[in-house]
Amino acid sequence: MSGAVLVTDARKTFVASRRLFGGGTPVHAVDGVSFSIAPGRVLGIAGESGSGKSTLANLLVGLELPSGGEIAIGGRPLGRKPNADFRRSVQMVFQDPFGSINPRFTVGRTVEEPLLIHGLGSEAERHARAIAALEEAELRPGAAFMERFPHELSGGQRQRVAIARAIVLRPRLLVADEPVSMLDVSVRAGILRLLNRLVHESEMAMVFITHDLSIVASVCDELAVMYRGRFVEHGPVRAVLQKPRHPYTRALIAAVPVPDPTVPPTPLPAKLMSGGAPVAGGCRFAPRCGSAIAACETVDPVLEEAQPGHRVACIRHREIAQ
Amino acid sequence: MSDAVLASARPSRAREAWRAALLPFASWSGGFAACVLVLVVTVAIFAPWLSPYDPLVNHFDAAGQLRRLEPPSGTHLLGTTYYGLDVLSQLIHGTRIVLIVGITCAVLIALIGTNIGLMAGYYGGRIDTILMRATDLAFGIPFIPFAVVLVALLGPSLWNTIIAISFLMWRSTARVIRSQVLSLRERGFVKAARIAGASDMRILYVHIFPNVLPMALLYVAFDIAWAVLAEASISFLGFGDPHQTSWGQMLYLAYVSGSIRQAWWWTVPPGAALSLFVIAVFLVGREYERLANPRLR
Amino acid sequence: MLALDDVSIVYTTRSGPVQAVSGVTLSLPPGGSLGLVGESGCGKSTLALAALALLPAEARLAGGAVRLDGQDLAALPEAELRKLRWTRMAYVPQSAQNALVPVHSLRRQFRDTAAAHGMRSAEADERAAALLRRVELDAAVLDRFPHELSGGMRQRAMIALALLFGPSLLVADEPTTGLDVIVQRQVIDLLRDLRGEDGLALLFISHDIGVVAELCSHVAVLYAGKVMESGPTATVFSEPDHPYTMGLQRAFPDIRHPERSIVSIAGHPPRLSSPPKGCPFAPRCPFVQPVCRDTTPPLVAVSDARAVACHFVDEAAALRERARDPALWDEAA
Ligand SMILES: Nc1ncnc2c1ncn2[C@@H]1O[C@H](COP(=O)(O)OP(=O)(O)OP(=O)(O)O)[C@@H](O)[C@H]1O
Ligand SMILES: Nc1ncnc2c1ncn2[C@@H]1O[C@H](COP(=O)(O)OP(=O)(O)OP(=O)(O)O)[C@@H](O)[C@H]1O
Ligand code: SF4
Ligand SMILES: [Mg+2]
Ligand SMILES: [Mg+2]
Repeated sequence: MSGAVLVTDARKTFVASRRLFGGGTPVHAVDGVSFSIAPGRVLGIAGESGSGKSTLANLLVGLELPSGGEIAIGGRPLGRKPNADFRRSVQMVFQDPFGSINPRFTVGRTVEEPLLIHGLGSEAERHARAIAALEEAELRPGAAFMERFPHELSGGQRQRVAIARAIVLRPRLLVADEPVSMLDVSVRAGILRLLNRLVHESEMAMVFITHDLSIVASVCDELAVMYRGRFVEHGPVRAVLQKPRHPYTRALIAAVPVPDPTVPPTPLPAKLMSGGAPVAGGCRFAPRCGSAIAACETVDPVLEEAQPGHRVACIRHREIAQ
Repeated sequence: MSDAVLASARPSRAREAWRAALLPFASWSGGFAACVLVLVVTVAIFAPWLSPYDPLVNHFDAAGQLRRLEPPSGTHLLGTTYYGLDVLSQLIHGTRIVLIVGITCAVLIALIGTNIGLMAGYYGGRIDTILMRATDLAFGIPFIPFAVVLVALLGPSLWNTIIAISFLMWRSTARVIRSQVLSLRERGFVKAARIAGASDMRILYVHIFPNVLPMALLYVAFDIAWAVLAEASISFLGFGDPHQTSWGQMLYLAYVSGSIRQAWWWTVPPGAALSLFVIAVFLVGREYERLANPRLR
Repeated sequence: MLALDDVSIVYTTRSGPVQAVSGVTLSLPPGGSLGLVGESGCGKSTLALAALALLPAEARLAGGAVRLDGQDLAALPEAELRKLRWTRMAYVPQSAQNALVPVHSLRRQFRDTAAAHGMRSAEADERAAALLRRVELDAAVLDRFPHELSGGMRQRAMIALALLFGPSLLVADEPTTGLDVIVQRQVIDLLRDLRGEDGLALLFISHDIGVVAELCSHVAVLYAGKVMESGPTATVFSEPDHPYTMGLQRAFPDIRHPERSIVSIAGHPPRLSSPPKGCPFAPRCPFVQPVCRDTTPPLVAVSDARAVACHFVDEAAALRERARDPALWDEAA
């Protein structure tokens, strides 16, 4: 199997208990996710809060170790513990531009830090590579930013510094967890375009996590919709947005506000808001699903190919597509 | 969250340091307190030249009589003690003890407290539980009896006093640093360092430590005041170093010689100096606290 | 019912005054809905606080007047204002989800608020139950604690609490920011219902023009503490007359058109501690002319409902045409 990223049945279970006796109920934050990403491609992952997006991101970058399944980046498996090789091949960009760079470091120090950790290059080489990374992140001239401190920078500029830090090691995979959701609308497009360009001009793959479906089209090649720890739909981004097949994807898309007051909002199924806990062995979305039938309570649908490259986990996806 | 405000131009390092140094002068009380501290430090450094006599030399009058409990006069500006020692010289030399005790204890407390706080906050889990139990224990031990027992066991000396003080006082620093680390370790820059493969030591001391430094320094400042007070208490109880002239020691001797009532010139100067110093440290510390703790702004 | 007349607000800070709001004129009729949109730091929350006469101590109404039903709020004593604030107007603060007291049950919070204004506990419980039903929450949540509720539930509980004394004006500061789209939709639907069915007037703050488009009949676009453009939502967004509105609209993705590329507006808002001369948007505006940097364009009425603060309102149609080109926004820098 080729690919920059290969994830097979990844799982992460948290046991949410800090008590000494008696285990709490386990939370299956990531509950069997498989996908691969080719170099130079972007996979978007969308879903509501708590669906497991960040947990999956943490697994990919080795911040958390999987409870099950396999993750390999650029052919290097993440074994019991991520080694230096694995560390060099993944990097991450975070949501909060204020917390994600060390307020006590200069921009130059921040960008050089990954090189220092891996003991790469001489001081002059590290300096030069940091400047190059800043310029790639469109902070020009890079040298002018090296001595500045984070508090002198705008949110958008900080996010660019974080991106420069992430690409300075030339990783195989870049994971961006909601990289623009805390930025002003007027600077978002610039960051999205930058990420898009960086990936498509290199051999790096990207996982782009967001809860805002309206921006995925401008960065992603593929889109996966996550619900309660699983992918419920995964396919080419346009196909998923324009012909969503899973009822949850449809609801997510319908709920996005449209910046056009003349268009009345699409009504959502009332059941969507109320829904209780799913029945074991049934579809996890059934309690909130407007299309659910009796069979949905007894069959746990797996991802199946509805169109080439477009997978859906819903037993009614064919009827729904009509 | 406004960029415009945050992006305001940054002055150079030197100017920033200068501004920080002048910060206490922003308020009347802070400025006064800063002057007191500068005065104490200057006096301590130049004590041998400033003090009119050797603080441990007994003075005799022309008749060969010990100058016992003489009130202030031209020759002894602050009078003499029951043992015929010059009060002013003792007071001046006492500033050295203040500095030695204050600074040594503060450094020890900062070292122990900050490291325990860093470890507990960063590693969490078992390590955190153990370290925080130890902290609770340190909070549970009453200070003066502990110090008295320890000094009684080890023998009265300045060094033993310092050990006794530092052994318990790290507790509040540890707690505060831990709570800061708890929030810092969830920040993106710490995660980024972990993802890039930085070791725990590197994350703790290169990434996290500089961010708790302002708070640690603030606590060091307050620790100086506490340590000086503690030393005075121990000395006043008679467990101080008999070969050193500390302000607490002066009060102790005034007390045991039975002259604490009549010889005001012997008791008021060390008492007042002690209070003034402690208050000054707190006032200056409070000005800096605004920097470290945005909630007080 | 609410009228802001040439309102200016200054914050006093260590590093000097910050001109957070300058000369803002807005009005909200009974039962109407007005959205305030703009980037972070443009003064939205400050205006909301001014409308409630709730400005913090370091802020000062440096000019103009805020009137509620013709009454100048600045002229009222604090006791009078406090009564007004709950009975006539209500406030859902920014990050209201975290504004509930974490250690008290909702019942306690409703009762405390009620007691502060002389409503008995029994009556408060009754009102609370009815209001929670109104916001589609089960009355059983009354005995729950904030951390036991989801973000959306907390937000709706906050709105219910704000409605305790049956106000006729609701000021909601970014009530949907940080919520999931589906939950956001639920809150929007709720606010729309409250507006339609209960005749509540709504001053709604958001940085998301999509949400404002769904909820508000009128909109004011703020930039650097000034109104750039105001009018009926439908026409402002379909035919923006101000370059900033054009840019904002182009910066906002539309899920119906995934192929349309979004733009970013180069540069950043001016520092309000030293506001620039001329049009505040001039440094970022792709249509800037020398006159823009010298003279501040006044907010002028272009039709009976719309007002625009741009020297080139008359050429708005041509500018709109040029603004369609994404390259225009990328080049301006
Ligand atoms: N360290 C942890 N211990 C216990 N449970 C956890 C932990 N981290 C995450 N979870 C749980 O796992 C689930 C998935 O969380 P995750 O943060 O991955 O969601 P998310 O999709 O990123 O949500 P959001 O959009 O809010 O960021 C949640 O139910 C969360 O409570
Ligand atoms: N308490 C304060 N002291 C000093 N300046 C303040 C204070 N509160 C706000 N400001 C400044 O006033 C301006 C307007 O702030 P305001 O909070 O009203 O903006 P906003 O539009 O609500 O932004 P956001 O979208 O981030 O909530 C900003 O430049 C801000 O920095
Ligand atoms: S399987 Fe049934 S319940 Fe699940 S999404 Fe499809 S229709 Fe809805
Ligand atoms: Mg997340
Ligand atoms: Mg605000």
